[in-house]
Amino acid sequence: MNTKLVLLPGQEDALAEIFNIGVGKAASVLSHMTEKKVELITPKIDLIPQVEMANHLHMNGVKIASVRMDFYGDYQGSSAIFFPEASALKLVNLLTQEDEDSEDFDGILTETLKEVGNIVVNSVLGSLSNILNCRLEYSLPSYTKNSFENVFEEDVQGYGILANTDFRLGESQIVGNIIVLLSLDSSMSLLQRLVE
Amino acid sequence: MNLDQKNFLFTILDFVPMGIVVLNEDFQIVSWNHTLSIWSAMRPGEVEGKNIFDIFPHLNSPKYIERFEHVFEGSPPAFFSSKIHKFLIPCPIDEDEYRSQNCTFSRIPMRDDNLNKMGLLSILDVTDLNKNIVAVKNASRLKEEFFNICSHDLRSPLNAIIGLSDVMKSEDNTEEELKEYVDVINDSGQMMLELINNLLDLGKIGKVEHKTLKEVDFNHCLMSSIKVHRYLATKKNIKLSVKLEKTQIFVKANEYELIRVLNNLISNAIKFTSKNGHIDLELMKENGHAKFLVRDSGVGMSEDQLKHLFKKYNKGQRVGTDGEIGTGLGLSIGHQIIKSFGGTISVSSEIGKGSIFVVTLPLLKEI
Repeated sequence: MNTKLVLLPGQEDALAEIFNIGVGKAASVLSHMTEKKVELITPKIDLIPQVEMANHLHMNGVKIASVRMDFYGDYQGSSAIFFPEASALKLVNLLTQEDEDSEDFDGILTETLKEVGNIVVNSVLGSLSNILNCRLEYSLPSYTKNSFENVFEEDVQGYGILANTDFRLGESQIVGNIIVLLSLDSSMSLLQRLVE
Repeated sequence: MNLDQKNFLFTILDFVPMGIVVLNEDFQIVSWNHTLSIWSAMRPGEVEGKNIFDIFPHLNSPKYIERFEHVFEGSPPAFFSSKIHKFLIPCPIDEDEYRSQNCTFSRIPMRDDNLNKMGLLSILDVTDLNKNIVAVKNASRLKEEFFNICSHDLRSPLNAIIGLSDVMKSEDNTEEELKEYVDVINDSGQMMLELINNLLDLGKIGKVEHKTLKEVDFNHCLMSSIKVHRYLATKKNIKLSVKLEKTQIFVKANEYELIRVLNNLISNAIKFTSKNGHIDLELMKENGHAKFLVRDSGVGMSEDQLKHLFKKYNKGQRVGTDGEIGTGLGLSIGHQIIKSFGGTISVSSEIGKGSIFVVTLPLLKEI
């Protein structure tokens, strides 16, 4: 029998708080790093089966730039931040003032996204492990540019916590997504923990 | 973990070919490995037990402290890229160059003697890697430019040779005309030979070598360039008018490269001017400078096109009014050449009305 998980209002609120604390910390670090006012906002949290993720996000075949970290311990899965390619270029341009004419722009793009992704994903996972008081070990961040389906191999039973994220730098706004992919067991266990 | 085990682990760190610093949550340096001692020229005894911010005050900034603290609080490893920070621990290679570092700060499951949490800063030296990546990318760009230059600069003289030899097949040519055509064909051939010789010198491709500059007769260069292009203008029924100073104009330049710039400006004007249009070329003296203007009645350019026109990797390749193809490279090379002669090149343009290119070069002497 298939288990269909849905977020209860209390769970959704708890996840929203975890993400908001996380992205708030990330925004503070990014502001200090860039010496500009950076705001990060996660207006909505969804729990989506991994097999429906690409359709839900309209990302079938879309090339994305992503920074991903795997974690294990009390929960097992991976977390990533990803942007459509054009948004990734815009974000790096805003953060570094470098553009495609710059020498070694590919290197600057990769390294900047890797560090920004690391800051954001770290803050969210740190917030998750602190608030839920769980033990997590982490891999180092890895940067990938590929189609959505190739970056995120589906765990057919697993779920993804999805937070649409707005990066606001001055007048500019860039939309990215943070996801936390969990196995079915980890998803169930995490949802249970959220209501305890 | 007992003291012996800790010492054993820290000894192992000495053999890792990366810089490694172990910090406690008060930011005191607990261990400083051998590799980092060599890179930084600071022995472990000089730094261990001291606060890292006292030794490296640049790290005493929220952009580092917050991220170190998050890791101590349980966040995943923090990554610091060489492209953003250049380095965390200054390790000089020579007087003005430091090792580029990709650094990662992770919490380690150990406590120091006072039961403080500990974190490990691992430092990967990516100086050579970064340089090699840039070198490989430059090599690839140079290769691309090599082919672009070939196709771009060989086209004008080759068109003149083919076109004039076609004209010469006709029996209507006077002896005087034939002599003029042969002269142009010869000049074009010489120009191609010189270009090929330059291209074969791979070291000079893609960058404007500052060749020996000497006294160059600007009028003579302009007339050489006009000779090659007059036929192309006639073919599109474009009126090419030339206004020169009565006296000679001498500038400090490289003759071949100056002709190359003039060729580019004139061939571009022909390329983007429709049939029956006109192009005015004017060479004058003004405020101690030679000033050369190319004014065409062509298609003109948008503000966006103008903004990127002289950029090295301007991707704004445009097709001429008669389907002529270019690489979009000539103006960026021309810009570099004129700059290397101490001059300027500028442009003003309006869509549908035409463009005006202006080259100025300091006058060497006046006759």
